[in-house]
Amino acid sequence: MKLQNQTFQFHEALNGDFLNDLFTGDIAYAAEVFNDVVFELPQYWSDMETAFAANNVADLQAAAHKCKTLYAYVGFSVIKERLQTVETLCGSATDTGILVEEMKELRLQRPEAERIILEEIKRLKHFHEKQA
Amino acid sequence: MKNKLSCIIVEDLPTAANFLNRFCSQSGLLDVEGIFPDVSTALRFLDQRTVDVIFLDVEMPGGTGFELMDKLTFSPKVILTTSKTEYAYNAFEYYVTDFLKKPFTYKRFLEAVEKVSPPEPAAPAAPAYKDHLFIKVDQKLVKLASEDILYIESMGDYVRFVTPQKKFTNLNTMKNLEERLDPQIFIKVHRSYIVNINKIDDLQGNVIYIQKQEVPIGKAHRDQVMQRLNII
Repeated sequence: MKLQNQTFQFHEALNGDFLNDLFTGDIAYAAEVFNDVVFELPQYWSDMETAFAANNVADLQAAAHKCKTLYAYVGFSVIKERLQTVETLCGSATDTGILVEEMKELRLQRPEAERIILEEIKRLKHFHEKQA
Repeated sequence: MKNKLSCIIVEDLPTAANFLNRFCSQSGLLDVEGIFPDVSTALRFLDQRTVDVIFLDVEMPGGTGFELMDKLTFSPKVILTTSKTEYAYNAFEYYVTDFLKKPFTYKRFLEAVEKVSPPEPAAPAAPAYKDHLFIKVDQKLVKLASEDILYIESMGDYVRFVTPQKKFTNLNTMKNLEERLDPQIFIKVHRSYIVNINKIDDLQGNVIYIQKQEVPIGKAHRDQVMQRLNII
């Protein structure tokens, strides 16, 4: 990844076009939002795991919805769509059994997603400092 | 828009609330008077004062945005902010001003705000109100003359019409009744009560007496009630 014409290039796993529209070049604010997302996500991940373990479909759906929204703010389309799938399946599921595979995939994707977001925070801050 | 619009944000995700708050400030069009993470704290605020616009999330702990709209005692413009497009139909039914799918861009936010305060059209003719209404009670439609209604009380999803002779319970909302009843005759005095102003016998403190029955006056409605009474 490199800086081109003073436009921040987001990580390829993120929807860069969408993020550029969303933050309209305000790199400092983008870093702030990425930071907020990293801070808020663990609570909703924990809520998802608790609901899944308790076989509580409604709570799982609600927590997946919140996680999905947070990932959307950092343009993480792949994990967002998987969370959307969980949310949708919860709408018709009577227990969390049918979500075992989806949850497994999400757990696998989570650490890498977190790593990318943290890396982007560093890069955004660095880019902003260079701009200032 | 000459003056800033007052607004509140009802949103449980801090990231989303901060994002929206920033857009409001950036626009210079809105004064954010509060940010609330759930329906109950927002309603407590709205019991005390009104705002022009509510930015309202749908799914929140302890109640949905639609439940908040059901309990409003005034009619602000509502802009729904949700990441679920499934709510679009409900939004349409609630006559919300716009529906913003999170996360939304500043451009899209401004489009929604513009809808809140479009150029003012010529004043429409006052709606004609009938002197009676029909309510569905026990599989039949009962005709109630407006002049016979003493007051109307909200009871969750139902309302109770109180007349001197009888009480009628009907599946309805206060919001719907507010739109259907003649405002020259009926006045909302509390989140859960609409009274026939011609039937008020007396008023003591925050209680209205109608044929020996007590109706509370909500803090948010007291000034309006006092203005409507012919006090000399």
